[in-house]
Amino acid sequence: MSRQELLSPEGLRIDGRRANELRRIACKASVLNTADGSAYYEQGNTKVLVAVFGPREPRQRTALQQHDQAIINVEFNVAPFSTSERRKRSKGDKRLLEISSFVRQTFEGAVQRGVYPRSQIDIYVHLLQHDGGMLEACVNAATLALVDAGISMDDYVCACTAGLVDEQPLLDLNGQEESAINMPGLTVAVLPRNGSIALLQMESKIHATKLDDVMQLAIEGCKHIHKKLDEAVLAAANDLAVKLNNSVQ
Amino acid sequence: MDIDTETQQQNLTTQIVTPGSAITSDPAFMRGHGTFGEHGTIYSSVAGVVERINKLVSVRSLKQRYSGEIGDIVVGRITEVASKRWRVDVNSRQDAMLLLSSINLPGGIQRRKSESDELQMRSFFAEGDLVFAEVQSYFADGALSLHTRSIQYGKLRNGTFVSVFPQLVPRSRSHFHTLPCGVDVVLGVNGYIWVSKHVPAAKVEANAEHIYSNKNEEISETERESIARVANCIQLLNRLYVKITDTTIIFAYEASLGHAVKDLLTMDIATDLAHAVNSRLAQQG
Amino acid sequence: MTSLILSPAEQDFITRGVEGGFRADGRGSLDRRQVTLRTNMISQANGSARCRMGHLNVGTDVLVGIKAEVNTWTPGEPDNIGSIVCNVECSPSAAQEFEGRGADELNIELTQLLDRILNGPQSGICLEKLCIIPKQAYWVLHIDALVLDVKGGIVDTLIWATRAALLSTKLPRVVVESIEDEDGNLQSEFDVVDDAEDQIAVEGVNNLPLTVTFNQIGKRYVIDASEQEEAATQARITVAVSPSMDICAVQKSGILRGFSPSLLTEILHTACKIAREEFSRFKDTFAAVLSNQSSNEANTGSTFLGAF
Repeated sequence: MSRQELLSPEGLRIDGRRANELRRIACKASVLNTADGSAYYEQGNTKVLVAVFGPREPRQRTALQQHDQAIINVEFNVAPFSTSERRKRSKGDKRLLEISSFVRQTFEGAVQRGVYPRSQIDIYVHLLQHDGGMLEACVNAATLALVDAGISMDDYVCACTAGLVDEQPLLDLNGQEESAINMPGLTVAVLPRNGSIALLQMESKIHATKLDDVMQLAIEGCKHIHKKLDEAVLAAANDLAVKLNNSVQ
Repeated sequence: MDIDTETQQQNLTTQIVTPGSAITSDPAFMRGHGTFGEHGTIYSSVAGVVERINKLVSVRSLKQRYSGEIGDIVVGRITEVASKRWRVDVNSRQDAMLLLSSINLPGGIQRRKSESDELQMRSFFAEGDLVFAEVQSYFADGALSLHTRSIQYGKLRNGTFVSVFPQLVPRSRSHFHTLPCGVDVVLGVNGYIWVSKHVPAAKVEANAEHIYSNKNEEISETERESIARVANCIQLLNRLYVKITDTTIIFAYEASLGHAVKDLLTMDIATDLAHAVNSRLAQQG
Repeated sequence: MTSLILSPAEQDFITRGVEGGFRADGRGSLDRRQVTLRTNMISQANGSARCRMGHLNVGTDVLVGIKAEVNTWTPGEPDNIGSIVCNVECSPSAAQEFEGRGADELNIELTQLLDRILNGPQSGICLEKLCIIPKQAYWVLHIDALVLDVKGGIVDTLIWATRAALLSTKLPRVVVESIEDEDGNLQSEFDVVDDAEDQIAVEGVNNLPLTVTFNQIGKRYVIDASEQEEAATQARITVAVSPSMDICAVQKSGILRGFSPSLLTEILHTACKIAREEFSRFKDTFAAVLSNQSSNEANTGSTFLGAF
């Protein structure tokens, strides 16, 4: 696909968005009933379901390497019907393992693991539909589910992608944009309170002078996503607080 | 948000904060559960309600696993028989421990434990058994240590198990109740609840020899129905996030009498009953 | 099917309850729990459904997506029929032991069971109609099920979800043209019509069976067992029954005990009676789902963002 098509002369993208526009975000916490925490998150047509269990007794006690903090375990699963062409991925698929490793590392930094020594936190991620920004959606959904489980964290972790076309940074790439040839893209995750960067991954190449612009745009996106996640957390917390207050004598 | 003035302190109980939000920078406050300090400011680490006791600020999460305190009454399930101890699932971040030295040995009277007791640990508690216990202390790694050294504690029989959100079971003077309908409930503050046929205390004491028996008593059809009704009432209070105390259980039970037991777990009826419980609580003020 | 271990006292309480016809949650032995159903929530699939069976929105929860693909015929395959490929995956969100490869055995068991029920004349699906051009091209229906939660009765929930997903499946219309080539042989070509309005249902889906699973506990049996009841179960038998009351598949599992032939006869007889009730419950539930679902707006989120 040529660069022309990715960004029209009027400045519109394939799906009609402007360069600095996010896709539609909808999310909700507490969507599953047996998990300690859960969340559903969709950004455009990328849809993710996350269940969090724990902190709980580690399944294999020998796996406990650090006795003074919790272990985080991430399992990433892609539904075979998530893409337009059906594809069944094996559990050993390197791309999947990479994503779960990124998610794990990201939250090892943000979760206050020292509060939960000798225990394990399991994050089970399901990609139900894939249309670009797989990693960002997983991180955002996992944040929401961890907060829903009442697990102590330094802050939310919010992730977003950005790319570059004709010197023009683009926010939040969709599947078509992501797979375009020579489209450089990066995923960044930040802790919004102090702006520290928890995760950064870049594909293809960006000229050093342009990298900062693209990063800045992605970080702007993270801030918007933070607002969305916070709204969903407050909605779930308010719901419980109201119900509980009704029965407090 | 700052909590320096009187009026703001009034609002504190209903104030919901989310992870990373600043609670106060007043150095007079100390940080409690669900908070952390950074550069002189106290931040929340969970989503929940801000609570202040004197100078201690904490955030109570609205949904979380059980975190134990000494003196808590809990119900737990044995997960492993280890050397001189049992591991017990208490819905917490790690299994609690029940030491062989923390249980009453059969025979009623206090006696020294012997090597043969160590060999027959499984005859006291085996994997899957439910135990009614009290939190005695913490181990260095934060695991809870339980004890069952009281006639009312020990192995649970004659009934059914219900698991609820631990936040719904408030700590109170008594966690063992005999309801007017002739059903005993043990409300573990860890969210594990045991509902069983009422057995008079005198009979329990008379049976001290058999405290580790696995045999249930004869349970009549009416008793069985009452147990199921109480268990379903607890289930519906839990799903509709209503506090679970002996009072709310009795209210739900009484309100439910017009319905068949099996219908209590349909959403419409459950919602009506939870509503009825809440309005009776409101009437009591 | 999960690793819940009951205490002997709980086992006994459940067993005596079942033998007395009054279960721990107040149900009789042939009472079922509530069912929640939605269809068409996966936009990139040809058909989909999510079904949950349990009390107060806690229960066994299965999501099924069906994708139709055109396959090229290769020698050795049947000449003139399409095919159905099943795949069931149990998520670790249902039970911790399903982590990693922990669910492999159960996944295979459920996949094979689904395949045995669907792939053949017993399913009622007209496999011939899934053939596009004999010895050339045919439709493959990929049925992918994701088990999100397990609270007893996994097979019955799986079949409900699959049946609803197949009933909601729409295939693109295919135009076949035959041209005579220079040698006078008839050459066929086909074209898949890319029009969301011009789609057809899978033929024969109304004949799909439902299953009734019996759990033997003590001397008696129950249907739609809860998680605790499954933990007290000595033997389990699943019976698939078609709308015309043909028994399409029987599978007994559980190693603790065998069924006596007389009990088995009773169970098969009861299965037909229960299946008749289940078909009418399915029909009502499915009709309610269709009338409540606003138009063709497919959205995976609808069951997670809204009420389910």
